[in-house]
Order: sequence, then structure tokens, then C-alpha cells
Amino acid sequence: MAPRGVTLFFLALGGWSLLAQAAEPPALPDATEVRAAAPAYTAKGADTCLKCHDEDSKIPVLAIFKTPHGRKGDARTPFAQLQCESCHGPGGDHAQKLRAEAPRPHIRDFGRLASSPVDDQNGACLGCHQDATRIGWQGSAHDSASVPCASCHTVHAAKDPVMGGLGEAEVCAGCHARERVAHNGAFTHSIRQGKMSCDGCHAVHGTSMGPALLKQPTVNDTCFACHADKRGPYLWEHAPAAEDCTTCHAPHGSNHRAMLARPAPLLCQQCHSQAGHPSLAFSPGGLPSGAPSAFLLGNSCSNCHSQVHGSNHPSGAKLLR
Amino acid sequence: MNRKFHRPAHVRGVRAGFLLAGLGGCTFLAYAQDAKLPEAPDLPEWACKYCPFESGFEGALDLGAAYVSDNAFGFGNYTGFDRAGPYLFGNAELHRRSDASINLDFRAEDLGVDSRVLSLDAGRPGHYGFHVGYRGSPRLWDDGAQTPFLRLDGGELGLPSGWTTAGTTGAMSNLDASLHPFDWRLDRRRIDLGAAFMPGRGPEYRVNFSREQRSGTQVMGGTFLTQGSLLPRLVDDVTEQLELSAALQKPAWQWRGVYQGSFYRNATDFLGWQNPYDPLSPGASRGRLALAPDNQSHQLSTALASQAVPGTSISGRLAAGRILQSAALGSATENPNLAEPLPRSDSGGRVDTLSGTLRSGTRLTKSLRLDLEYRFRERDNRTPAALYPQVQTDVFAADPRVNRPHQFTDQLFKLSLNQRLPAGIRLAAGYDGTATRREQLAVDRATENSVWGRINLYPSERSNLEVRLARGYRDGPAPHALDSGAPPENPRLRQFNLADRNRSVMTVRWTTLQDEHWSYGAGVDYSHDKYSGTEVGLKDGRELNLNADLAWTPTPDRAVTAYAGHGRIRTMQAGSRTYSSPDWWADNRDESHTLSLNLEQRNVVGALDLSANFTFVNSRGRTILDDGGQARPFPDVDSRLQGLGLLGNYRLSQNLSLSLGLRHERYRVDDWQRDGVDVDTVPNLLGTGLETPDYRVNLVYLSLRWQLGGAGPGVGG
Repeated sequence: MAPRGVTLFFLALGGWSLLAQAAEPPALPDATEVRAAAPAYTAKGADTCLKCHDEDSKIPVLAIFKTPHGRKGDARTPFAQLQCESCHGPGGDHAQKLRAEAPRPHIRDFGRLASSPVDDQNGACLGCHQDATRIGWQGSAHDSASVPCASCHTVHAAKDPVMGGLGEAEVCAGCHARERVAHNGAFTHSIRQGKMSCDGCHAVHGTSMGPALLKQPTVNDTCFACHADKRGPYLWEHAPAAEDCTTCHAPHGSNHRAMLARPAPLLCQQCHSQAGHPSLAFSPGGLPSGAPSAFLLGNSCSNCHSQVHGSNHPSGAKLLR
Repeated sequence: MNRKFHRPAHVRGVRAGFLLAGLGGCTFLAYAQDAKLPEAPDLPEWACKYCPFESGFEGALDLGAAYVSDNAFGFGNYTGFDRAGPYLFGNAELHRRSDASINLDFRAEDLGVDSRVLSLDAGRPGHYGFHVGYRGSPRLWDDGAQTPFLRLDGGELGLPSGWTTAGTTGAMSNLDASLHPFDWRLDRRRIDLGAAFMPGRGPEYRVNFSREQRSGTQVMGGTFLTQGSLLPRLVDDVTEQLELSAALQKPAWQWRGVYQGSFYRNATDFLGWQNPYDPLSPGASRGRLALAPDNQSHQLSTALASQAVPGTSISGRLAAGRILQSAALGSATENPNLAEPLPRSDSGGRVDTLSGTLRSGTRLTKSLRLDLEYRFRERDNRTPAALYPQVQTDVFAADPRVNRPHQFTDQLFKLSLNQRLPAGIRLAAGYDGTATRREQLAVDRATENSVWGRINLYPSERSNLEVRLARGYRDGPAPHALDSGAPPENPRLRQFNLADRNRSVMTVRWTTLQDEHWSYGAGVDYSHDKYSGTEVGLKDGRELNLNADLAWTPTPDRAVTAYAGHGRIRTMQAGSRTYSSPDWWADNRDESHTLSLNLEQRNVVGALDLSANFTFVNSRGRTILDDGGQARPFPDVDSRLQGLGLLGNYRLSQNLSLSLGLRHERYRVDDWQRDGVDVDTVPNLLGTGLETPDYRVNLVYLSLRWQLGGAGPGVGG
């Protein structure tokens, strides 16, 4: 995209912003008005709700008492506060007796296709959960994409599937289809076996405010948490390895050993064609059935250049030692 | 000598100061607004007498036996079931719930195999908590590898007495008699300890410590000029991590400060090995590879978020770190005829890092939101540069070289607008701009400008269609020559991570939650990278993913889920044998197909539950080389996994149930880099004869589950 395209894009964004503002002035109600307009709470709190929402209802809810939300001994939980209405908001209208056929007034609901706006849903969750681990939620990729908390979390379940293991990967894969395909590659982390989950690398609430919702501020810092042997700093560095592991590796999985993004030697030849060590065309003639070539077989380039992450050997400038 | 590479201190200071000012602004706004928040109503009469609160102990214990039909290293990868025969295994969980005293959560999984997990959490929610955990993880590659190398004292690799060197592997007369097998595997064992304190309205404090030990054998290449060997390298290292944090949470603002320390210790800094070939120069009979050096990393970070101004959120983070490495360098060569003095006894490795983010979200109108973000990271490598003698693979002395510590800075600016329209439609668009500056590389600057747009439509109350499009362009100056002493790269080469690039991305996703019984969805992801200025190197990359999923729950007792996915990555590159114009081209295509199906039926006959799952995954890589004459395809790299799981669970009584399960797995890999490559197949590579996985395994297991106690009945009020 040329610079002129960027300029036009910004002009369009500015125009959009101005039009939107002109059509809808930013008049936010103050807290007093909100309280005055708010519907009433139910007469008896959860006891009112549970008269209809028992285990046989269309929307069973009692599993919440097997979760941290359902512990009244912890002052931070809904059941130590406004019970069901801590999250769902005042339910007086919703719980009122109605004439037959009369539509039941709406109460705040949760989920990807819920009728309550995402901001309203997430605002209810963040009312309690806007804590240190969600310090970077606002403006994070999930927030910007208007992902409701309940799109991933199942609150009325004894075990929220997203809270670890294979269940978490399944939930994430619901949207991240590309990564789901990669996880089934021939070389992957242990996601498929349920021994590692997405939160091994990602802090999905944006804690680090880094790229790709990673747990650490950079890609390499995240990788080094488990691969500290690659951290160096080496005497002789391989610049792409020191800068960004994903230059060569596909961390969600690939068809190639060591989760390389492309097969060796082609991957290496995409950056190296040096005088005295030119980028040769290694053909199938170098397979065992022909004239077997050390450039192709075994570990390919790293049969010799085994120190691709860097070398601490005084004579290691070419990453051979 | 090295000082000229460093970023001036005032530049770092200004950048950090800018972020600190932003964070300070958040704090001021937060304090100014904190007192204005409305109070929650007081409704003490809500008795909650129908609420089944849990109290007391609850848990379950699984004890069982399993039988694995065949030896299959690949089947044991990450699971621990790698050998044929019987296994005893167990799982357990125990929970204690109490409003007034300690809560407890204990969990044990996969007892009896190497992938076991144990964890214990105890404490009073909202007051304090402790955590202890253990996790084992076996990473298994191959158990069919062979080598003539013997492990000597001190981790050195030697050859059997009487070994006769030769010019090629085929001429090594006592190679066959000297081979012995080894397992290529790495075991991780991790211990976690943690504590959290939440004293009232003040800050929360947390401390976490972990220690992970890795042990096993990996394969590493070692060479004497053109004569290589794959060496069985002993792995024995430890990584310890310590995290101390304090956090303060207020309705309108939150703060967090963290120290992270990471300490890596390797039991061996070097791997020495005996040259199995005829020495290419006098004295080149031993080689030495540097292994990962001991290192440590320290990072301090602080983050602040404020939602004090109505309709606006501001947040930021600043992290400063230091990585240190001062392992002894050893000698320049093992060849006594080429010994050279070194300028330093250790590298004095030191890298200072600085990274930060400042972000704001503003609601311009009730339905329009503006998000802004500035992010930077900096790697300031202060490792001293010096002139080091170079003895190439212990064979000959080359020109000395100066080490070039790599350092860089990149900055990112993001802007996006997000608007809600009638009928739930959401429209978003944004701009991302990145500027990168690197030292010591042929392309020292790059900028990337990207724009994107996204629309979410709701064709019906229960359906969502999302379409996202993005375009980006990265460019930088032409490569310049480096005075590094290394031979120059082909001037027509553009390294793909630095090259000019046009990127187009498209995502389409459809989701429907038909009703409480049916949900289904489908999606397409497509991206195209075009390296328009590249003659030699990566020229084009395309990726396409298609997927569909379905969930059907006709009754509360029956569930069916299915998924199908297809992924395709295609790259095209050019190379030059003659260090000039391209004279060969390669087309690489990776494809994968995934199909999974899960069926679940409860109460089939009385108290019997049944479930089944089937998985099929096929990954295929195809490379076609065109060396100017004709297209020459390599054999496909192909992996094929078929898995079937069957499980029956019968409830013998309210607290006792019996499970009988079967896991069948068929896995086969064809890989031309491994298949048919024996220890001596390549004349100048002493290999390991690694075998690609090809197994068919059945795992049968029987277990008894005992449900302990149960949650106490609800005690209203």
C-alpha cells in the first residue's frame, strides 16, 4: 500500500469519526440518572431466580455453586454481594408476574449471540475482574474485537472448559481456526495431547500488553520461559534468532521438524546466498537413491551449522562450533 | 569499540519518560475520579435459602490398569505410554470448601506414567493462598537411533578403542561393530511453588517460583570442514524462575509491579568429540562445540490502567530488563597446531531491554469508539566487541573476526475506530504502523504500514457473519555492505524478514447457534505475501485455511460434535548457484487435512454411558525444484494419524463407577530427509539412522472411580 493510500485511509477515518460525532453527540448520562432509570432488584434475590431457574429449566444454573462464583465466604464473589443480580443486573422487571402471552422483560444475558451488548456484558464481568491480570484488557485484541467474556467462559458449569488443558484449546480453536489446523501438524507443542494449553504462551486478557496477547512483552521473552537455553546472549549471534523466534519457527505447529516454518535447506536459502558458499540447487538427485547429500539429508544445513541459535565458541562466527 | 552501537541514553530516557508521563497521567486521573463512583445498594434480606452452597470435602479417586499392545516411541511422546506391556495408573482430586476456614484443591493426573501432574492449592479465597505443583513431560523423538560414539567422563564423546578412521563413512571398517542404540528423548520435570496474600483493601502480593530440570539426549551436528557427524548430546540443565509481584485494585484504576528473574544453568558448557574421519589437517583429531551457556535474566515492570474518565480508558506498561551471560569461552580450537590466544576469557554478554505500551480507548459517541496504542521494544546489546581468532572447525586458521552484537528498536503505532450500527452491526477499521531500526544488518531500517477493516453482521438473531480484510506494505532501504569480515551475500538476495513485502489478509467466519440443540460454523482464512523487490530469496507466500464445525445436542443425554479443517501453505523462492541472477526455483506446498468426530450418549442402558471419538489428520509437504531445465519433485513428506477412542462408563452405585476404554492410534510418517538414511548412507555425514515413526498401537484400560463424600447440602443464609 503506497503512502497515498495511507493518507486516503486516514482521511476516510477522520470523515467517519466526524460524521459519527455529528449524528450522535457524546452525551453520557451521569450516575444519578442511571440509578433513577434503573429497574428494581428482585424481592428476594437468588431465591426469586431459583424458583424458575432450577436444574430442570431450559437454562439450568445451579452448577455455579460448584465454582468460585458460588462461595459466599469470599467477599469478592457474586453470592457475597447481589447474588444472581450482581452479574445479571436488577431483575425485578424480569421476575415479575406477567399475563399469559406477555413477553418477559429482558435481563442482561451473556454470550456471543446474547441480546445484551458486548460492552454491557463485559462491563458486568469487569466490575469485579478488572484486576491486575486484566490490567491490559482495555484496548487488547479481544476487547477491540468485541469478544464477550462469555464467548470463552462458561460460568454456569462445574468446570469452565476454558480453564485449562484440552478444553481450553477447544474453546480457543472455536475462533482461531488457523491455529487449530496448525496444531494438527506433524510437529507441534503438546496441545493435541492436552499437556499444554494456549495459556502456556498467551495471556488472553492482555496482561503483558505485548504482541499477540503473549504472556511476556515480546515473542522471544515468551519462548525463553521454557527455552532459556536459547536466550544467550551469545558471543556470535544469529540476528533473526535474537530478534524473533517466529522468523524461522511456526510455534502453532508445522509439517517440518523443530516446527520450522519451511523445510531446510530451503528455509535457510531464503536468507543465505553467500560468496564462496552459494545457494546451490539441491535436487532429488541428492537422496539416498542417487548421490546422497549432507546438504539435504539428516539435519540438512544444521549438520554443520548446528549453532543456529548462536554460538559461545570463540571460533563460532559461522555458527559451526 | 562497541560503544558506537548503543542508543544514546537520552533517547532511551525520553521514550521511557514519555511512557512514565502517560502512566502518571493515568494515576492522577484515577485519584481525581475515584471518589465519584456510586455505591452498591444494600440488600441484606436476601436469604439465599435455595442456594446449594458447597461445604466440606468432595473428591474422586481413579485407580486402574492399562495395557499397551506395542512398543511405540511416538505414542509415548508427551503421554509416557511408549513401551508395550501393563501400566498401573491413577487420577485423584480432592476439594474442601469452607466459608470460614481453609479451602483446598488437590489434583493428581496420570500417576504411573512420566507425564504425571500433581497440584495442591490451599488457602482462604480473598485472603491468602498457597500453591505446590509438579509436572512431568516426556518429549520422545526416536528410539531407533544408533551411534558409534561413547560417552566418556566429563560428557566428552569418544570412539571405541581400535577405531580406524577413514575418509568416508563407507570406509570406516569397524563402524557396524561399534554401533549401539540410544533413545533420543528429553524429559522435563517441573516444580512450582507459589503464595498469594490479599490483606484487606491494600495491595495483593504474590510470589511464584519454579524449577524445571531437563535431562536426556538430543542429536546435534558437529563437523570438520566437510566431514560431519550427528552427535548424541547429553542434556542436563536447570531453569529456575522467580516472580514477585504487587498489585492494587481500585474501582477506577489498577496497578501492578513485577520482578521476574530467570536463571539457566547448564551442567556442561561444551561438547567435545573424537573425529571419526581421517583428519583433514594435522592435529584435527578432536572437536569441541559450545553448548548453551549459563545465563540469567532480570526484568522489572510496572503497569497501570485507569477507567476514571467516563468513556475513556488509559493503560500502560513499562518493562526494563537485563540479560547476563559470562560463561568461560574455552579455547579457540582443540587443534594444538593452531592454538591462538583469545582477547577475553568470557564474552561478558550483557543485553539491556526496554519495552513499553501506552494505550487509550475513548468512546467518542455512544456507539463509536477510538482506540490508540503506541508500543516499543528495544534490545541494547552491550556485549563487548573484540577481535577473535577463527580456527575453522579445528582444521585451519581463518581471518580473525569481530563479534557483532545484534541490537534493534521497533516502534508500533495503532489506531482503530469501532462503531456499532443498528441491527447489531459492528464496523471497525484501523491503521497499524511499524518502524524498525537494526544495527549490524544489511538492511538497517524498515517501515510497515497496514490498514484493515472488519464488519460483523447478524443476518438473524442467532447468526453472526464476520469479514475482515487487511493490506500492508513493508519497505526499507536497499541492503548495504557490512564491514563484518564475513563473505558478502549475493546482492540480488533479499532476506525475507527484511525484504519489501505486500501483505493481503482476508478472514470470513460464519457462526450460527440455531437453538439449544444445534450450532454450526464455517470459516476461511487467506493471506498472501508478495516480495516484489526480491530476485533471489523468498518471492511469494500464500496460506489458505478452510474449516467447518458442528455441534448437535438432540437431548441432554446425547451430543455429537464434528470438525473438518484444511490448511495449505505455498511458498515460492529463487536461488542462484552462480552468485548472480536466479538460476533455480523451488515451489514448496504444505497441506493438512483434519477430521474429528465425537459422539456421547448417556444412560444407554440404565447407568451406562458411552462415548467415542475419531480423529484423522494428514499432513503433506511437497517440494518441486526447477533448476532451469525441468521441474524435479521431491517425494512427499507425509504424516498420517488415525485415532479412535471408545469409552464405556458404568455407574455401579452412587459413589462407584467402572470405566473400560480403548485407544487405537495408527501413525505413519514418510520423510525423505530421514527415510533410508542409515548411519553411513552419506559419505561425509556419520548419521544416526533415525527412523520416522510408523506404528499401530492399542491401549486398553480399566479403571474404578470412587466418588468421595459430596458437597454438603445448601445451608441457606
